[in-house]
Amino acid sequence: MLSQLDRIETELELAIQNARTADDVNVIRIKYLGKKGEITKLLHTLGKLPPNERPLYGKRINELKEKANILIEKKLGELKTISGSKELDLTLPGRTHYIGGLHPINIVIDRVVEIFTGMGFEIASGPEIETEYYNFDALNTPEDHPARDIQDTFYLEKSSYLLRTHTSPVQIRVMSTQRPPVRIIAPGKCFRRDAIDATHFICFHQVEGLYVDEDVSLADLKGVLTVFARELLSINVKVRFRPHFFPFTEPSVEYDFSCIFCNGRGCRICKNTGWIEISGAGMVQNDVFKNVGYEPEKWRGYAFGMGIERIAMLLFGIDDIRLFYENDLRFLSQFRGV
Amino acid sequence: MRISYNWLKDFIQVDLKPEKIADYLTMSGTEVEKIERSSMFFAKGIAVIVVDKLDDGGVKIFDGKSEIIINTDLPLEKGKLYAFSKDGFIMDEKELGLSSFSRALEIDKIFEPGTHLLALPDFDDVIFEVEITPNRPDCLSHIGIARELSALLGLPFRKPEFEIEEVEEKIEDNFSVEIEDTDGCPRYACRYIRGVKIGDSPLKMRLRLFFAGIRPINNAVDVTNYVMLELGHPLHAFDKYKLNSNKIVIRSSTAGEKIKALDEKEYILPDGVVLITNGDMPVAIGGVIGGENSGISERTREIILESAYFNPRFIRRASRKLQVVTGSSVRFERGADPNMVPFACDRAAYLIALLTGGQVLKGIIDVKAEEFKPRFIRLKKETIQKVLGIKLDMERANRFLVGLGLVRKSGSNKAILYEVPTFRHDLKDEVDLVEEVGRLNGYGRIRPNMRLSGLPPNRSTTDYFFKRKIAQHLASMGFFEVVTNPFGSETDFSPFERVENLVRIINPISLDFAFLRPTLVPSILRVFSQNHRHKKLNCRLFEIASVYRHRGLEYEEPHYLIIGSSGLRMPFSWGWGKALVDIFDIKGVVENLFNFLGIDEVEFIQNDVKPSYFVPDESIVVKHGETRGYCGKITEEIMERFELKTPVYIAELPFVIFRYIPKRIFKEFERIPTSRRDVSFVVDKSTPASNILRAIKGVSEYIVDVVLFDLFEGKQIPQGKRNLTLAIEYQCPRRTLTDDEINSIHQKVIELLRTRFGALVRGIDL
Repeated sequence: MLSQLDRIETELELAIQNARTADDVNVIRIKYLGKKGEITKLLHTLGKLPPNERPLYGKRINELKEKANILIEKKLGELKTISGSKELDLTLPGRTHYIGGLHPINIVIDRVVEIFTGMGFEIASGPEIETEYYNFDALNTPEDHPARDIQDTFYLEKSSYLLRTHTSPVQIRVMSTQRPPVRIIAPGKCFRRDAIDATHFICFHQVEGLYVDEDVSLADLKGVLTVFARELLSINVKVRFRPHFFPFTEPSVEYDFSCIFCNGRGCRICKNTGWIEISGAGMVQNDVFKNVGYEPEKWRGYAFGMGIERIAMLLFGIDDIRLFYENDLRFLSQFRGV
Repeated sequence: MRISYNWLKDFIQVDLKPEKIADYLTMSGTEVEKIERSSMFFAKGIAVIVVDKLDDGGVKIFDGKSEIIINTDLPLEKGKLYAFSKDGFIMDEKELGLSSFSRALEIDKIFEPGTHLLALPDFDDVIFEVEITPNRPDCLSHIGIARELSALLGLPFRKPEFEIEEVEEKIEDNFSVEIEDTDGCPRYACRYIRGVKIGDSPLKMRLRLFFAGIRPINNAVDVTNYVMLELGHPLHAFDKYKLNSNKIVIRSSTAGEKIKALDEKEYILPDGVVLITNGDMPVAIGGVIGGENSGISERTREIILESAYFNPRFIRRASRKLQVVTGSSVRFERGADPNMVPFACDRAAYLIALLTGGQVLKGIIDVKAEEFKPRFIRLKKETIQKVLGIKLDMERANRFLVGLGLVRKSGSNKAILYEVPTFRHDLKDEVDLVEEVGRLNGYGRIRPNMRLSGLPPNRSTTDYFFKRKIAQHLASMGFFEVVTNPFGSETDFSPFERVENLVRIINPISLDFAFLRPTLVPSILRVFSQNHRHKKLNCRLFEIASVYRHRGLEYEEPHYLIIGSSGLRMPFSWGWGKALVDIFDIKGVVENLFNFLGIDEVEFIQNDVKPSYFVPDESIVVKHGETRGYCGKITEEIMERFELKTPVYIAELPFVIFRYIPKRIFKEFERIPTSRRDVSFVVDKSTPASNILRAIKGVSEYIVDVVLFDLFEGKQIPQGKRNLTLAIEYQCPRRTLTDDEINSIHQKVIELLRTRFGALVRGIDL
């Protein structure tokens, strides 16, 4: 008798567990608790037992009945919360809206701006149509410097107007109108008369940085670029300076980031050098200070530039600069959520 | 510039691995772009050594790897070295690039059989391809690079040493120099060499020139090139006989003068070019290229050897105007060393005499307009620390600078005064010396300082973030941002602006990119076109960028926002209809954007002048303050021109339209609920809906909102009429309006509709 009770209990538990709908549960209820249900039948057989066994069995059967009721009610409750209405097929796709997104060039500029404004840089801007004065003269570019060549720079009809070849003229515009200290970044479009290929386009984007104060050194420049590299790429990135020459900085450097793809061990992307060339930087030339009316004895400053397309190409593994300007939706839609 | 490792070793005793040298140079500012082994220069020719001659006429040779037997009629000698092409032909020196004469490779030595070609002295070399920045013309030479390494590695540097042998006869009794153009040519020196025998230079010299990328010509010309690569000072050799005069006169050219140069081209000179003449005829374009009429040939017996200093400005101008770039012009235009003039002259005269068997006349003619004095610069320890941000021992700094050829005049451990040699005219100020010290000490020693100074942050960054806020909002509304290039052709832009108003590039890379856009419309339509071509018809795009215009004597480049939409109104899916976008979608986007920005006073004007690229009946003027933008449908003609496959709707808004965003100040909002009354009426189609809505709002201050929530026209409605249904929300501050009050205002609305707009109101007239 007791073993029979145990069997029923096990069967009941299993049946409840496997029930998928309220109907399943009702079938179980009838099977065990209905008029001819198994538990009901057991109660009827109670009278046939010897009187001294009746209280024990009676108690056990009632406990089982109680448990069956609880299990059934609990299951019904659960089924109510999970089952949807049969009228609605909720697996139909939702009524979504069009997805949009920002252009990868601007995603990168936004990120650069975010990092530098976080370090206290202010955003400056200047015109894309510049004059030779701001683009070259004030930046100490010699009159016959090859960059001024008609081969390299787009000139407009009106004398001395050109399309800026870098964002550095913004330095001059800011310093000409603002006394030091200044700490700015200037994102913007630039133009060079390059033959178009996978790594050159006639327009591109740069972000220029400038900080002038009483006490600024190359170590500070390395500091902000290190913070920038870490924020942009990863905490392990290192910054390396290589000496170089630019007319508007002295000392001038080219700066590299340690390769994020191989952690500096050397790979295809860094051409096995462990370093990725980023751009140029340096300490602002004294003549540039004189051109904007800053006293070179009193002020020191650093300036740096960076090419946005180049960074975007590295970050996203894009191998052709022209893709940025084609704006194919199959391209643009890959940068959602970046 | 190509630098030979063997050659460097003439001036500095160094035995590091080439990769190590390259690394040192690159990290100190002389970028090594490539390291090449000399073996690769002979890749096309396999050098072999004859091991033995066999009885049957065959020859046993060794090609560096193994012995091979070949049959040949050529008179090959045992133990000698020959070059063979890959297909088995003997290559002469001309074919190998080692000589201008066709002759067998000749080495005056008998070698042990089995000797590898590259094991021979001078054949085995490493070539560094270095990029020299324009401020360092002194490094366009082997001594320049050797000096860099000497300063960097602390190794002794020695200049070439030689002793010139002169005959008794003096140069000044036979020749003279006169400088008329002292501006263009401040110094001119020459030597006279007689009895020369022109022929090949020795193999060692030819190999060095060959590795440096210069074709060996003959023993006189090779010397001038050799000394240029060695000392960085260009030289020129004249055939004294062909010079046909006993003097050199240096003068400025007059426009139209002609000279046939050594490259066999005839140059027509502008004025102001430095001309070397024999007093009558031009014989060379000073510092650029020699004249054909006075060049060295096999018959030359006497040589006038020129060593001069030319003004960089003049050389640069001549090189640009004549479109000719030579090893000489490159060095002079970047700035040669005026005080190198006599030394380079002596060095070359010594070598020419040595190689040609000539005799050097006594003395040197050296005419100069001025003394070229060294500069003096004081370097303070404090400045090093301030600029580089590192502490550096003054003696260490001094070692670097002395290594570079600067002369320490006086000083202490706080500051040192230096005399700067004239070959370093790039060193002008103290900070230039700091850079020298910094780069030789290594920028790797500068520790990044990541502390920021206490400058107040961000004074005016709002413009940028405002633009990005709009971009983000449009992206959230399902638009992709594009970045287009602003160039285009006349045909691209002529439908949008009169050609004379376009901003023109005077030196475009092609006619397709000859103008700057007058509006963003063609730029964005190109993107639609590109995507339509790839069957992406549902495009929602925007861009914020500049357009370019003339403004008086200047230019202006106002920023615009352009938004465009084509294809299905809602995504292609079971949940939405299949309607295409129309004017109300793009107008809705514009309204939404202004709404998002909190600008409420925007007006939409239907009957007004719009640009011709919009369909007049399906476009509208957007006006905020005095600023106007447009939105609407692009015309069929433009669609065809841009090969658009489905109609495109555009909103074109000057960015200033978003100025004057009202300041937001919190107002206590009305907590009493509004009461709604609807009204439905039939009215003339020609009556603008906006007029009706505005008029109703004007009826009472208690009308807080009017929403058009139904519109239909069709069979049940008379021709030329339409049915509008409005929900009007009534509300009064601080108290609930009674039904009577609302009804009385609503009645006024109905009267207004009937009398002012001739409407037939449902429930009354219908």
